[in-house]
Amino acid sequence: MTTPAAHRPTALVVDDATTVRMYHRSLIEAAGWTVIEAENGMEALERALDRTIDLMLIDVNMPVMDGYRFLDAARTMPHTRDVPAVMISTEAQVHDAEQAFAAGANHYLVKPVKPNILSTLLSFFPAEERA
Amino acid sequence: MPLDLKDGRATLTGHCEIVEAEDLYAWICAQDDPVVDLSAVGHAHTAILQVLLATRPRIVGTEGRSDWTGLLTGTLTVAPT
Amino acid sequence: MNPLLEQFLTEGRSLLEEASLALLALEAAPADKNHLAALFRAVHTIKGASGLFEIAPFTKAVHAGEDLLDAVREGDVPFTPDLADMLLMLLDQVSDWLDQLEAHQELADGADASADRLAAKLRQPLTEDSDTRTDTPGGAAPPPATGVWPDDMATEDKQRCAGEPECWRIDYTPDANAFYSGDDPLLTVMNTPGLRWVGTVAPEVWPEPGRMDPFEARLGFAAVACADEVALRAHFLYVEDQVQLTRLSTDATARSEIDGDTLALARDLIGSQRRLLAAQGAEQTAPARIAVARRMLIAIARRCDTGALQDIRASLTGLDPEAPEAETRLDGLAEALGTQLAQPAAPNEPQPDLEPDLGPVEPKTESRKAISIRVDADRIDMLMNLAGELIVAKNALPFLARRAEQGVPSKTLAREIKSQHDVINRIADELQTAVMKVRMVPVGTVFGRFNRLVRDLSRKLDKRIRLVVEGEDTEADKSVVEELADPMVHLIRNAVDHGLETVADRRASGKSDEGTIRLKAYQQDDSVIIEVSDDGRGIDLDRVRAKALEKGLVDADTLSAMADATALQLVMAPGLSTKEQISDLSGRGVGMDVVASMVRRIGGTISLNSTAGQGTTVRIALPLSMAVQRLMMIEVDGGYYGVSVDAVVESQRLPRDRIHRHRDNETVLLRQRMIPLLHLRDLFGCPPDTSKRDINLMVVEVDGNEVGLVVDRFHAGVDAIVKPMEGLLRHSECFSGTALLGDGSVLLALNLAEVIRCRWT
Repeated sequence: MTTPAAHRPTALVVDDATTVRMYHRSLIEAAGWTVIEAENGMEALERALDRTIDLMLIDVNMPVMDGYRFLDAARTMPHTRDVPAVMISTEAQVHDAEQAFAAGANHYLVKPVKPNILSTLLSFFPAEERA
Repeated sequence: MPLDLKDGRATLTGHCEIVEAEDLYAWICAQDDPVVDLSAVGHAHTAILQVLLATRPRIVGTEGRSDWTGLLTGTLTVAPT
Repeated sequence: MNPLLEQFLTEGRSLLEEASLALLALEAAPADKNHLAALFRAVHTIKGASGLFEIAPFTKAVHAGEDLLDAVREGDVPFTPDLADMLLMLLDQVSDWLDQLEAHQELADGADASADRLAAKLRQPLTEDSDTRTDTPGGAAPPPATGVWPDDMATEDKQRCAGEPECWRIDYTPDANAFYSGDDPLLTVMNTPGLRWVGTVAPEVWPEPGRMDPFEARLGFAAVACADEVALRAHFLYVEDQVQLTRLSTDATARSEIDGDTLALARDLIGSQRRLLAAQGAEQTAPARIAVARRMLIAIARRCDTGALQDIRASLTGLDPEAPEAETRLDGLAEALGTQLAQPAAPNEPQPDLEPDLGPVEPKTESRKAISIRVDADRIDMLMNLAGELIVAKNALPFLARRAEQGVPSKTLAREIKSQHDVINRIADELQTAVMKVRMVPVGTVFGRFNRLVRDLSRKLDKRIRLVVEGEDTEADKSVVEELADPMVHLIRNAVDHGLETVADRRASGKSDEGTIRLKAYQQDDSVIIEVSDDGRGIDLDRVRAKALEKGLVDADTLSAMADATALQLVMAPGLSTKEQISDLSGRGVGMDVVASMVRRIGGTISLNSTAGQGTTVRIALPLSMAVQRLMMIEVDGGYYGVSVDAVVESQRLPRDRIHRHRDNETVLLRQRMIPLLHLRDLFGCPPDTSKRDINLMVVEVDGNEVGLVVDRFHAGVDAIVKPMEGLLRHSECFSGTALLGDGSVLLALNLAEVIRCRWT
């Protein structure tokens, strides 16, 4: 069936900073996506339960459950195990990137993510990508 | 009678109006293994198609009916006129 | 108020504005299809939006207008001034209705009757002219092809549309109660002219068996049709609020190449997938990591495929992520993909398919609905970027705190704090600029409505008038621009009514028949200058003088001593009107005095210039905004004053004997330039200080004139918000305002233009 015009791809934005979430939300929504927000990994796991998600943007440092632990867990859950994930953090060290990939991240970006990078990234996931 | 419901098989004939949708829906929901015969259907109202898509009964009689197979699988190619 | 209605009011008014502008432009250039298209679009959009509310008369009248415009677009009905009058009437009525909706959330009684009358009038040309069709090639250019092909449409089906002159995507989402309105969406879709493809759009989940209301429409349709827009719109006329048409590109070569950003990110992403595949992660997530890397690689290959990646795409899609060695094979494919993308795409490569999702994802323009202030997306992006940077900068502070706890030497720590301060300082500066920019709107938003005013006035007074607008892109703070409208309306009325002569009078004085009113906006330092000028008869100074005397505004002695330029400003004194005949345009009382007080109230200044027989110019200077200014602090006799850094050319300490005196004027020679001096102590009435051997000189430049200000002392530069003077001080023209300093003291900011004027007069 054709994707309904009203049905947009969905991104899960996990970050403890409200401003960062708003920032990402505005950019992602501008590209015609729907955004779900979570303040930490624990909340993100709950939020992801009842939705089809097309892309996850995950902050590294968060209270309660950090980005690595969240992603590690998400990769074991049926509905998130093969959802592309991008880790976003302030630290640009190689070590952090390695840890992100080991947790199952598809990409690693450094804050603040430039609007053009994010919109380009979203363009890799047209609606039909969702099986 | 555009809609004939008997023995586990619904037969749609000719032009099916919206009013048939209600009976068809109730009937399909009540059956264990409903079969819908579309071999003699002409145009059916959107509501009928909607019932068929929502309930997914076994469909028979669509051989050679590209319009109905297309609509029921979701995409329909129309030859340019 | 209901937010939806609020939105409609804002949007409706903005569309009305667009419509009347386009209409007037069209009247001036009836052959211009762009104006017609703009007018049609605005009216069409108003009508569409009005359908959301229970305001049938509104919709009916606008619909009639739309139909008329459609006929004009088709060349069936010629565009005439009468027709323009009719459409203006419609726009006025709509404007009234919007006001009623705002005030009462409903249309006033009698709206029905007015709508009927208006609609009948608008439809009249349609019936009259049906047999006298003109042969003008009809129609505006079709809209650009911005649509996206339906996901499920097979490539072959898309190819079959290639070469068709127009191809449209139709998204039909029936209202839930569509069946009750007698609609059969399937039938409508199947009968679409030029239909090529139909897809059903089912809800994400159907209700449980037995739980569905079969008479509630849930099924939507996507369709592709090769037909012209008019035919399609006509076909879907009765359900147009449920149907969205987007034009599709059938031109294979028009497909955009993959842009640099995408290619760069694709390469990065491929690298990342290879790192993901190589990463030493937990055993149990290994299959998921392979699966997600594969999924990402497919997405990359699909996004970047211009025809050469089909093999790789097929291998990726065919690869089973659970198979042994999947990891290694995937890595090999990723490498191959990377190699392919590293090569520049071969030109003129056959483009076998019409896959739509290769173009850059364009944000939907329609999602930028009108709100109270229209902000450039770039400006929002800038704000967002800065907000992001601020977060990052903030994150460094706990780190510094930790360093302090660890007992890092205070010198090192101070250096680190200072460098962090620099970062935050820069961001704060940029944030400030960005926020001010958001509030800036072009003055043209106000100028726009004057076209209509001038047109109506010229028809009423039977004068021929040309309105020339210059500098409408000049920006000023939103509040300033909004406040500008009223005084300008009066100025333009004055110019048309009192300034410009009748055609006969103009001929008699050897002028062209057509009078000109010129609106000019430009920026000068931190002010926006608005000039309203006419080439009319000018102001009769003798009459002004006589009138001023008669009304007792000045006494005879003062008047006789008064210079012409000063006497002219009496026009702005309360109660002086020189035009004896009171017309219904400017009316009694609302004269220049009112305009002048309006301008002063918003912190502006107004001046008048007139030459008998040649015309009048009114010049309004308004503050751009209350932006932060960078001021150089100077000290004079113990008081602190600020000078805008932008005006400062240089600061020098010079021996007193370098001053040249010629009569009362003092100058210094500085780098081959003669700089006149102005002792601020003189200006401020402080005793001169000749005790020191040297003078401190600050050279400033205003309007191309350089002046050396002699001050006691220089101080550091400060960032300050300069507020206009209030109360008693508001008439001290030498000061532009006051600024509060960090320590609570008050700084007087110099109005250099005035200071220099003092120097010359």
